[in-house]
Amino acid sequence: MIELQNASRWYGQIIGLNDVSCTIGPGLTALLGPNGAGKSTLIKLLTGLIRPSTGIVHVLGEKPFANAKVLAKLGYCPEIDNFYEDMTGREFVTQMAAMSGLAGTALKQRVDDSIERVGMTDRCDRKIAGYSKGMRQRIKVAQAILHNPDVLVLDEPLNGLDPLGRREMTELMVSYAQAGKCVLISSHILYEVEQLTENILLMQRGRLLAQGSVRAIRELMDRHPHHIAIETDRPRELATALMAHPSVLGTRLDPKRESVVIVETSRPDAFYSRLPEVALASDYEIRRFDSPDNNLESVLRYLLDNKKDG
Amino acid sequence: MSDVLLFLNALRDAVRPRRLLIAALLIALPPLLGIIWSTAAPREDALPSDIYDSVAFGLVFLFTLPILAVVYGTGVVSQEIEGRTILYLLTRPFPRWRILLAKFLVCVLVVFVIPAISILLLAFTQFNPARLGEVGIYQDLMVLAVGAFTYSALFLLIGTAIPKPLTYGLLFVFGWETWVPRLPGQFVRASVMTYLRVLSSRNVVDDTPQPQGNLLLSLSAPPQVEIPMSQAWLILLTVAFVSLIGALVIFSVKEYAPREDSE
Repeated sequence: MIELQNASRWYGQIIGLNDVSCTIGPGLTALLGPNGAGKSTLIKLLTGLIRPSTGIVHVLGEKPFANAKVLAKLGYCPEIDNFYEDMTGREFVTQMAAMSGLAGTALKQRVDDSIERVGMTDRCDRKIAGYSKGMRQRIKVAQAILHNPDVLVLDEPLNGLDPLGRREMTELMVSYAQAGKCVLISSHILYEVEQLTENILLMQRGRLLAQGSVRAIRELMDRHPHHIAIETDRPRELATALMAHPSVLGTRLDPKRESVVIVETSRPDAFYSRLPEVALASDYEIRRFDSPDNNLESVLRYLLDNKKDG
Repeated sequence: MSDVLLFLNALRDAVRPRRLLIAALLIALPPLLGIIWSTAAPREDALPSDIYDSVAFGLVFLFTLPILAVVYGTGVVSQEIEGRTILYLLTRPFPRWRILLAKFLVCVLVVFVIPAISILLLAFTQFNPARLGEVGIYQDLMVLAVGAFTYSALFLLIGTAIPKPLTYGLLFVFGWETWVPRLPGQFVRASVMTYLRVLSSRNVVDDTPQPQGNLLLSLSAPPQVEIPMSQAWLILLTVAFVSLIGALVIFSVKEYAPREDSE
């Protein structure tokens, strides 16, 4: 649905996007990266607000810049908190619906539906100027989904929402993804993205750092040791025993928790399959084990660090 | 329907209370000045037609009209960019030129209506309301309409084409339009106001020194070259339509995404 081939975008002497190639298909994909990573530039390219300086950007097989055919099938929820403050939420969504080619009863129906889907039915006739950040967020999402787009681009869609709102919005995005739509979410709230999807695009300094599932990306990071924390009754002995395994690069005791051994391994799968054997051989009591590296924040941090080092 | 909604929403934005207050001041100033002038000056030195002509041209045509056109004309696009609301408009499957045209029509309406009310009130303070037709008020309103259309189109073009359009627009009004016509030779032909004066057919001042209102009268001095009315029409409409079409084309192909703070 979305395809970039060696797409770059310059703002004068500053590069916003640097030779990015990727494809994004149906389902939910998260766009991650620190400020200035190029996420906003990528989103502007996809939503037809700007053109690439070089390379190709295609959405639904066409160049999106000022392309009504593409924009008719694309919904965009910008990060900005700006609105026509004197309008009511309903008036705003109605104008956006009219500009999407809807008219008459279809327009009214779609406006009502989208407002209901974001939980704003009871508040949509108030002026936007009096809306909270969460209400503004909901109305932004309402205008993005009202024409039932095939591609939905959401820039920080969970900002300002309370826990209930986040859950409702998350369910909405997941339902769109499950319906075969392409949903691209830009976010810096990593733990929420992690709960939403495994598919991520990682960006830094205008470049695409990695694309794929969190796990797949983690597997690509062979150079970087994977950390596994094991809580046991005899941590020192276990640490020594594990060192004999070829996939283990090192072991140490967790300075904060005496009963925890931290294992560094370059081949986590091999280690996990070997661990029961080691535990049973000397009858270690394995109370708990987990890998802090499996969360998205770690992946992002490691990848960014690697890039700097490289 | 979307065009009508765009027009109505733009109109509502144009008549927000704060803007209405400024509009009320611009409307009230000329008639007030007319009243003060006719009250303070001796009758023989301040004929109603002189006062009307001087205030109407010195203040409304030379100041209110272009200043409104600059603010509203350049603001059509720049307000959307500064408010970042342009993101909503440009990501819809709606022709960009129609967005701009709907907003431009609101601009022309506002730029015409405020000076028009002002001129009418000024005329009411100076003439018998039954004689407004005889003293050429309706022709002035027509000239105002042409001026509103031409100036608005010109500033719309500036607003779509270059950054900081308000600055350049003000320079045009207070620099170019005020001083270029005063340069010797044919420079007078390079000013929009010259042709509006020709259309008005008013001999605002003669060569004799005026005891009252010298500043306004001198500012509203007529062009020193002969320009046929047909030529004035042709030039004004050409400037207006070329500017408008230029603005519509530029808006359709130019990038207007506001820069993100993080970039």
